[in-house]
Amino acid sequence: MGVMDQVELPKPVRYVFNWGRKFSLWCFNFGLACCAIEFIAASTSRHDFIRLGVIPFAHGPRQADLLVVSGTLTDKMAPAVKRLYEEMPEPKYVISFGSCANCGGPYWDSYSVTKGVDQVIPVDVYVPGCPPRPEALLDGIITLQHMIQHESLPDRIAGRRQDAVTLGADAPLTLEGR
Amino acid sequence: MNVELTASLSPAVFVPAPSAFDLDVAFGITVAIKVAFILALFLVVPLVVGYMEHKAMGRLQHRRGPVAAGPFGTLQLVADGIKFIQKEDVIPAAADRKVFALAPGLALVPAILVFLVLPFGPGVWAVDLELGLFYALAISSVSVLGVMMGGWASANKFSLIGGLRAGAQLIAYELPLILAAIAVAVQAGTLSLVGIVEAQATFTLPGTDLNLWFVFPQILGFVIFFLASLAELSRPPFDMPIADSELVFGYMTEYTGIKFAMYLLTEYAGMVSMSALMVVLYLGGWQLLPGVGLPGCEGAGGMFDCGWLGAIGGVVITLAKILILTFIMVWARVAYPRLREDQLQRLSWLVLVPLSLINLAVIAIAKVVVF
Amino acid sequence: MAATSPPGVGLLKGLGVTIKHLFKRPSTQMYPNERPDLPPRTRGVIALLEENCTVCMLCARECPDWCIYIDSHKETVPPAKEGGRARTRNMLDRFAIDFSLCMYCGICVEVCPFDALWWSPEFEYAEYDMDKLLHEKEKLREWADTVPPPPPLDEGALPVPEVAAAIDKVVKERELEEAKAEQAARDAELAQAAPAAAPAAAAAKAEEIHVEAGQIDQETFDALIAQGKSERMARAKAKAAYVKKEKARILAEQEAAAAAAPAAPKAEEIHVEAGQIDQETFDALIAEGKSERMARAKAKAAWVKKEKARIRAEQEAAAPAAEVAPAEVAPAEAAAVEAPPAAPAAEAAPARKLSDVHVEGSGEIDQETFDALIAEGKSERIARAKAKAAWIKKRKQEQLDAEGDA
Repeated sequence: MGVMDQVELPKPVRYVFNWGRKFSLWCFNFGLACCAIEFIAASTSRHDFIRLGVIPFAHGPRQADLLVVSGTLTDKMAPAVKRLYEEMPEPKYVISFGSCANCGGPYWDSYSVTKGVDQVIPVDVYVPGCPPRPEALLDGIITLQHMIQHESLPDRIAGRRQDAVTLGADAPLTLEGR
Repeated sequence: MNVELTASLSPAVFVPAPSAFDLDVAFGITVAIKVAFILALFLVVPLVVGYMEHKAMGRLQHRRGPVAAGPFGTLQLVADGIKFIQKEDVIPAAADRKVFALAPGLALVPAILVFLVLPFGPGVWAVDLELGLFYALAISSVSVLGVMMGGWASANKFSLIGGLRAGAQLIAYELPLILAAIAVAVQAGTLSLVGIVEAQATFTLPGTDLNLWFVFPQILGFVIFFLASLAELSRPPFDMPIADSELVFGYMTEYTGIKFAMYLLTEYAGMVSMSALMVVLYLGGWQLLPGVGLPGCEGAGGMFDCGWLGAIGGVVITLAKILILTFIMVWARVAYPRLREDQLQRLSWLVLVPLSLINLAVIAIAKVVVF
Repeated sequence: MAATSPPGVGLLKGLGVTIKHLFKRPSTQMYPNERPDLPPRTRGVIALLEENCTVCMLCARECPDWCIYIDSHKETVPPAKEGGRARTRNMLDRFAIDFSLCMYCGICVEVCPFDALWWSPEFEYAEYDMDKLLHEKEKLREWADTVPPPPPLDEGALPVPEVAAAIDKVVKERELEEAKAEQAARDAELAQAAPAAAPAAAAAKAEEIHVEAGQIDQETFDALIAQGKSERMARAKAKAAYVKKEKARILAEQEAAAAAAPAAPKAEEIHVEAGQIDQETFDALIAEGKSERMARAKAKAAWVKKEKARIRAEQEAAAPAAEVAPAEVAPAEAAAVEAPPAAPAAEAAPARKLSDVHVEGSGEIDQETFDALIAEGKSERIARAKAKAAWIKKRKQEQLDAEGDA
């Protein structure tokens, strides 16, 4: 990291670096409800998202690149998601998987459910469904990979810093010296 | 080691077998070539093994494994590496920053240094040490120091427990590992790894012309060595130090990016070096089959002075054997659940250590009486 | 088993199970390259067939998530036919489903009475932005094209009601045709046995002469077959030709009979040349201040009326025996007279259309039409309604004919 989020790299180097991030999405599953079952189905042999470089070996958030929030996020659980997200090292990506994670879904008028993960953490890709098919997650991952291949890391980090403020974090999500 | 035993097989004064890299040029250039060779091996072979693990694990679990990154997913680990370079380096606030930063390196360097003495083919080694086996086993044990340092410095209870477990596991399994290796050294009459390969090429079943690898008389020792090396490497089913259902990621819990990649590389390099040791100690080194030497070779049992072609053939055979052994490690990983910590200790102290002592005694007696 | 087998056998079995998979073909679906084989009723996305939507709002009201947004306005549609009433219709302006909120329960699809909402198996619509998951009707219409046909029913399952009705109809038609063929065969025999028995009708008009369409006109049939028509069509046309001829024949017979007995011409049948005007009426209207043209026209009509009345009186006096026939027609006539001839009636009588005639139907049905429709397999309700309409039409036609004659 360090310099990489400050300096725009020349195009071929950027291509290679983006390619690396694209196909090495160590995935951390924040399974909260029934959508987590579909996530697990996507990791099993029938759908096998390791094919796409999404490796579910990340035991903890420190090694993860991709956070998949699958299921109903309650207000009680929201701080845990936020903390987990902050424990992940940049560059990190978030997929919101299913209606509940997108915006509360069936619990749109519940007193205890957070109306979407993006109330707490910035989300890159929203996968609709209740729950979505495993293939829908694969489609979401491909969508995310497309984004990663064409993104600029310094822009992304700069955007993140802004998001951190607008999302009402205690402090901006800085990269060093947390 | 017993002087009479060694004297009967090899000269009393150890003469290192010359490496193919010992060219008639300046010392510095020779060293540079050797370092380049070691580093190339160290960076390429673990990647190949990692890819093999991905694919083999996939197929053993009835799925495909990586296919998207590069042709057939061959560049999956390259992509991982490129990603790890870019990851943010997180250091926990309470961590001992210096030790935290030093630990992965300390784990990684011994893994590289083991490659110094490993013979990969006729003449294809960096250096032939008289105490090669001793060196390899000793150096590979140093890695655990890096693991324990990392566990301590992370200021994380899971890391600490993981590090301590790794230490306990190392102590428990170093013993059967070394006792099994000693039996090989006793039979070969040398601690030089090249010497052991040579001894296997010339070892015949007493009373016959049948050439045998050490795996045949010492099958028990081989199994003990294999299990102990799995435990040494914290490979499943002996992966208690990183047990994800108990300890998040053990001593690696707080490591990110390139430091984490170094730990990971240590693990894969350890798989390669341990497999290479098994090949050298038990599976006849670069011999294709027992009694079948490389074509165009002279020297002991057709194992040395083979020219470029023979050398390359030898390297290919060694690497193939290494891949097979690492495949068996992956196979065991897929097939078995993780042991409990107390089961792990019991297996070592109550089963493997006594068995390895029996193995050593039997081999020592046989060495004097039969061989 | 574990107790009896030596230790380590279980471990080897574990290795055996995993190694077996190494040599099997992996069960992985290569999703981006290979489409998943989705069941036909997959709940992927909700598609809208906009043409069917009547903005009844049932879906939006039933949606548990309130994720359907419908906007509409009313439009006045001109009447379908002249003289009809203008209708208001709901026009759909916006139909949007928020798929970030939708819980894919399918209640909207279930509840839609017009089959405007459908399940489509499409699932690939992940977005970078949640707002983009709100899909408008254009996108929903695109998805409607991806709705697969319904899957075949299981073996032995009850057919869908609509389909069953259609099948019933076909079966009935086929039975009817068979019955007709049988009837035709029987009629042919009867006709040969008693050819004189057929002409027994009493009604005076061709429409009212009922002829059983049992036989075919051989001449027409041969001609049509010669022309290369299909046998079925030729038979149908020949049958029609037979009916027509038979009617003509019966009519001729009746006319002959009527000629023997002096027929009483009805008022409508009395033709009076509208050449003169009724001076009395004319003077009265002029005195009332009407224009001369109108006065002349009315006076002309009045003269025609008077003349007709005079002729009828003369005829009635001449043939009191023939009084029965006009008396029968009287009620209809009375109804017809209610519609007074318009001003230019004298010249424009033949130009009147069917719809101009007013006939009060009071539940009478045309039995012939009714029978035919029932035979076609229509429901009784429809048959009755159509038969009623047919009755009214016939009455109207009668009136019109009568006026034309007048």
